[in-house]
Amino acid sequence: MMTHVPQPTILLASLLMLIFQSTALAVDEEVVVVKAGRVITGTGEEIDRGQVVIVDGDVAAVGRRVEYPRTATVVDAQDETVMPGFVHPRTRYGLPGYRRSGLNAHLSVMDEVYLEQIDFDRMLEGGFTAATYIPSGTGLPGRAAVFRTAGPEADRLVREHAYLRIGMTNPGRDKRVMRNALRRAESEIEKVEQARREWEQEMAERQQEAKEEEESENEDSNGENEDSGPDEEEPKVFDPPEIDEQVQPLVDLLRGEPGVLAMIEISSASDFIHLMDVLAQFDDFARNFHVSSGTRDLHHAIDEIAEQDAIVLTAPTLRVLPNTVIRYNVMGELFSAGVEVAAVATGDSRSALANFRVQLADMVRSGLDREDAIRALTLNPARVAGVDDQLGTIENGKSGDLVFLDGDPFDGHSSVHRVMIRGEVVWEAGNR
Amino acid sequence: MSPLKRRLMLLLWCLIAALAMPAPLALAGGGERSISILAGMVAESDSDDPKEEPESDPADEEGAPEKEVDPDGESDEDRDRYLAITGGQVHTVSGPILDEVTILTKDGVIEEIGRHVQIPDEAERIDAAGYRVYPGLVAVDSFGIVGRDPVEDTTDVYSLTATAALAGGITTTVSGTTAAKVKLGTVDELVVKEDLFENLRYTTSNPRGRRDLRQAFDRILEYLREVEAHERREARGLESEEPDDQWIRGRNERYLKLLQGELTALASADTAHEILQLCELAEDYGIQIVISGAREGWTVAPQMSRAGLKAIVTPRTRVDRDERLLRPNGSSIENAAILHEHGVPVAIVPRRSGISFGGLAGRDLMHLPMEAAFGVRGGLSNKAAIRSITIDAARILGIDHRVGSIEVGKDADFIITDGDLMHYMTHVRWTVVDGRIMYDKMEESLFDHIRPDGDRDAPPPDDHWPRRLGDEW
Repeated sequence: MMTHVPQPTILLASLLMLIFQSTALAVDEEVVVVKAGRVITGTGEEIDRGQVVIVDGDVAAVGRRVEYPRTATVVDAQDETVMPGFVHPRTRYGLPGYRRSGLNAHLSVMDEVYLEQIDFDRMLEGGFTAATYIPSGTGLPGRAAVFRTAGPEADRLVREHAYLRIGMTNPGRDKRVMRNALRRAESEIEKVEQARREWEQEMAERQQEAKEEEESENEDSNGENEDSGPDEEEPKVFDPPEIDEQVQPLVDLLRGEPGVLAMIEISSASDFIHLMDVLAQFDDFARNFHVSSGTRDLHHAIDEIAEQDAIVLTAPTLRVLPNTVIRYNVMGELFSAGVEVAAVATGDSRSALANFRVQLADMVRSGLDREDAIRALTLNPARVAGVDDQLGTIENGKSGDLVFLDGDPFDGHSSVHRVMIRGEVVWEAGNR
Repeated sequence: MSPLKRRLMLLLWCLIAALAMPAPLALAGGGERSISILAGMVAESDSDDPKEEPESDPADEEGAPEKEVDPDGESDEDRDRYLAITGGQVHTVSGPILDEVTILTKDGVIEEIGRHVQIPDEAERIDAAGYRVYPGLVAVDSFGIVGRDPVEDTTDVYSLTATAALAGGITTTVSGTTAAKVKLGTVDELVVKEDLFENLRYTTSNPRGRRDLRQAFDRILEYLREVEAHERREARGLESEEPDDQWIRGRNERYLKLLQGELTALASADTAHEILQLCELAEDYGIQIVISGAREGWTVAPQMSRAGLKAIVTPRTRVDRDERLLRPNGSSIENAAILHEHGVPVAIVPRRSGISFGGLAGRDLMHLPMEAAFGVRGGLSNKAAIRSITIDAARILGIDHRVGSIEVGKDADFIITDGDLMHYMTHVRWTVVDGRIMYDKMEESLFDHIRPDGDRDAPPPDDHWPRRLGDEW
């Protein structure tokens, strides 16, 4: 239906509407454009003279030529390589050595971390924009949490329940702890199932009763029915009994709840076999667990690990076969067997964090694929902690947490120049 | 103030633009851009990395091609696992030496031995032509090869010492009081037998301990007599009170088992005096005792034989004769031979029950056949020496129904050597445990460079040490 209004009027009206709409958006948004010499997106793409547009802290566009409003703040990084901020997949950086033992799956590292008390300078210097804090101790010490290493207060916490830490570094002790914990979780599930069965049976009986009553009513319409009415409507929905909070995360893992992750720590290939020995009894245990290991002799169990869909957290160190001078690159071997690896620094010390990237460079030198190395640095640790929807790559919708290096990340000479978190430069090399 | 100002500026700019150019071009104005960017962002955000579930497991695809159903009633999804060792000279230990026969194993058990064995197509094969096949060696004492208490939870299944033990031919070992298989990469069916021994401390330096032990034994025998009397009376319909058994707990329970012959005692004894005391104990109470050490066993062999003692000896033990004593004493290289002649079952262990990669080379568990060879040096027959590290050792442990010889129905534990087991040049080429190749000399870095083709006359390798350095070093 066309109303005859003069053309220019419509045009002007719609134009004005558009102007107001767009200006409103443009004004409320904080648009940052990073013009980099090179952008390593972390998705396998490397863009020379690439640009990253960050709107309100999130990446909105990335490419060689992207559009952005003229009002945007331009971060000139023509001489720098920009890549996703590194994610530390397991750290106790700045936390005291408080240890728990046994089954503490209900606890979290959240009780321990006071961000204002931790000086993240060394982390930032190493290029880390996020760190997964783990509770310490043996057995099941609790759940980890992911924090940004800087940035606005409201955005510091990335994920509260990152993964459940499970220790398997001493199978003689840890197998028992893990078995017992999983058995308890199973019995909790069985408890709920039992209650559900009882409830279903009750419901069925009630229906039966109601039907019989109806029939009897129909037969002799005396109308003297004592128990009917109110209690019939009462439990329409099944109210499951409460699950022991101590094993709740394990119950979630056994039930395969999405997003619930476990990180199982092993110290050798043998521990992995022992872990599989435990899990053989628990078919339901969600296979979304990750293993953290030293590289001591992990090469033995690579095939076994490849059968699982686990990401392996391991330090970028070359090992030497015992009694030989044969060196092997476990990280490279894992990747070539189809296992994804998340790189972990050898420790939380300044030198460990600073050398981390160079160590990884040495792995690249000795056979590790460059693209794999980048994934080991950014995306895979984010996947381990379940924060890959926000961190780990420079992609539309992900957080604008970037590292600016003055050269290639795997060049020993290059260093971290700047760190950007939520689109804001939070650290610069000169400001130490 | 500035947002307002900016808004006004933009309004002005847009108005000018709208007036100056045609409408379609104006749509691509500055403000519009942020909208398109946002839209892109929303569209991108719900794309997740698609993690494909693995397809059905291989067992399902293969189905079950086997015609026969496993007699053990195993589910048909795990197919039978065959291994055939062909062409080797088979030293069965419990029977004859068979030339060029085939051993077929099925699911870790010896299925068939003979010249005309039907080998299933899917069987794994070892061509052992020119090699000798022996049963896997049994080390009655070990340290650090497998874990301890419980073995299946504490074993390092990729340890170098386990690999070295397999290279030394050992397939069954003892850790604490548990007999376990030496396996790599698995914790399945490690334990052969638990609770092998009750360790007895019955030494000359501990008279009180000896008295306490005898008293405890007497008390338990008294109890056993009471039980017997009680049963007899009950059988005759007489009134009888059941003897109190509340105190038979812990150690006493173990002693009861000893006295009833359900358990074997292990005692360490070296001097003739100590051995004789144990002989006496064994005869007095009718218990089974295995003596570990038995350095002067050769001086009291008849008594040991009469008392039914068994011995774990080390032929290379060296202790000089004490000149103050008139009776024969000290160590003898003939110890194993003399004990064996007198009918005392003998197991041989090396001086060190662990494996070391320096220092004691040749006297650790990796060189168990060497130790047995020193028994031969002291007069033991070749056959008896092999038995002392296979079937006789297994018998002392009470596991000879499973390991220690090559017989149909026994565990498929073999070593395939490039020469006589006790020859100093002989290397183990393959070690098979439960029908699986656990050690292949050419696959491990321990000995692969030494006479790689099994040729004894080959010159020593020129890259002897440091080896593998190659040209680039």
